[in-house]
Amino acid sequence: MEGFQRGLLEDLRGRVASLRERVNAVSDDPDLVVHATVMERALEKLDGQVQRLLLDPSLGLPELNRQHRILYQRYNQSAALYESFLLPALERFSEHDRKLTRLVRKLGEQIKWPMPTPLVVADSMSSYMVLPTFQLMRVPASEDESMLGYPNLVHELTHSLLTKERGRLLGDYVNVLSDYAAQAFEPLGPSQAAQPFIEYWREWIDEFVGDMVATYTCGPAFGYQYIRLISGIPPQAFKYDQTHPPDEARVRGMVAVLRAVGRERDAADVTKLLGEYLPTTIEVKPAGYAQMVPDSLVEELAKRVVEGCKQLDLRAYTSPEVSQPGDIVGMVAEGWRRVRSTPATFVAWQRTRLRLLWSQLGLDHPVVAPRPAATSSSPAHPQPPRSITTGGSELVA
Amino acid sequence: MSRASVVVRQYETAAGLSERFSVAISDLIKVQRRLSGADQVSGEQFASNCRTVSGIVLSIERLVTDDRGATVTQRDLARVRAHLEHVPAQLDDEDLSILEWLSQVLDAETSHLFQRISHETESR
Repeated sequence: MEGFQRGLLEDLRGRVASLRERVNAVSDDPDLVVHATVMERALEKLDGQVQRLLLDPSLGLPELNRQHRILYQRYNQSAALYESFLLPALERFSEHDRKLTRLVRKLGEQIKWPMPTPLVVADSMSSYMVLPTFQLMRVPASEDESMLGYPNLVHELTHSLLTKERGRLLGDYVNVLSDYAAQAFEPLGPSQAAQPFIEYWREWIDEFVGDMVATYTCGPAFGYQYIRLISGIPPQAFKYDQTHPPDEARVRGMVAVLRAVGRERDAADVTKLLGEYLPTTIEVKPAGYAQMVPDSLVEELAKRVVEGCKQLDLRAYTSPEVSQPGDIVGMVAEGWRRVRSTPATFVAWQRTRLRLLWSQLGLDHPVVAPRPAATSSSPAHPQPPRSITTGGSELVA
Repeated sequence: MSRASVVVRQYETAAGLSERFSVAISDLIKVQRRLSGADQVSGEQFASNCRTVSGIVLSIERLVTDDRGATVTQRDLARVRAHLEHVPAQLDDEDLSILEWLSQVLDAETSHLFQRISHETESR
């Protein structure tokens, strides 16, 4: 068994080295260098873990075979995740990906996002997906071409923000949930136990908070885009599952944020649009629905998220009548006004505005020359990504 | 965020737990059974491993309900934890076999989540 185990681990080291070579080959692209470095460092760490196991004198002892098999599996799967998600995103980075990556970076600067923005790739078959570990966001293939959906990018960014600023965004909300559960469910006896309620909410909080931060920064456009999103997929107005709360309650959360920041007219407009959408689903509220997602819990969360956004100094939405060139939130707000008031001319207007935006983001000409095909003369030992100078600012790997 | 993202997050949590558990148990087994490599485990590292394992056992203990006829009962887990609290721990063969069983359970759960990553496509 020892020879076989050593063989597997050496084979895995070879695979990790190959991944490092490939990631280093893309690290001269100014939009990729930071993300290539993230992957390179993770693979370096993984290689160290595999190497440590190879040097462990207990490798091959029958008493430890089970644990060593599990560790090999963990290391192998870790490599597989980088291979499945981040490497293809880096190696197949397209001009659409570049637009989205720069768009999110610029949006982050404008709303004063307090952490680095991710690599964004337009290859998702499953709507929006964010993977904080890889600093990677995946969105549908034509997402760069429709500004109406841009507010959803902030919702996705918030999933990563929650990994660092959970306390600030939630405050004491966990206590609010527990107190509510004790009061609402425990008197009903064991058959109506509070535990399932808590388990659902534990997962739902992140979705609600993502919606609320996106509403705080993008205003009612997030509510409109959300109703646009759910209008195009099977309805779950009052249905819920382990990972996502019901849509009706999510929109109530957005409305609660608009009210908490004093935007009553916008709150009323989103509520009205939701009221027009709901009957089209022919769904009815299941028994116990009001108890599962009461207004009080949604509003208490909204208050805390708004407070958290203020503490983080995120830029709150203001409502410009006409957007300034380059202001992404303002442009989207104007886009939503136009698509609702003069739908027939919206697409042409959007095309012009986006062309201007890509130009402002330095994307009216190719950013990097096409890469030569990989040759067998690649270095045997991967080199760390180099520092890149781009547009006057140095990105240090 | 898609369900796949949620599953990846759950997988990462489970994988981290499973890896830490296996590394810690391997060291405990080495020291307890005086295996090759035991001398490379410092006293400090051994104590840290005991705390890691004890913490994970406590989490799992809360999930095990005796009325489900589980292979391992809460009482078994509480006993293992009690042994881990006396550093250097004096774990008997039964304790070690329970810990090995737990590592397999964690591994199975982690592997299940890994499989699910590629199967989740629905999102909103």
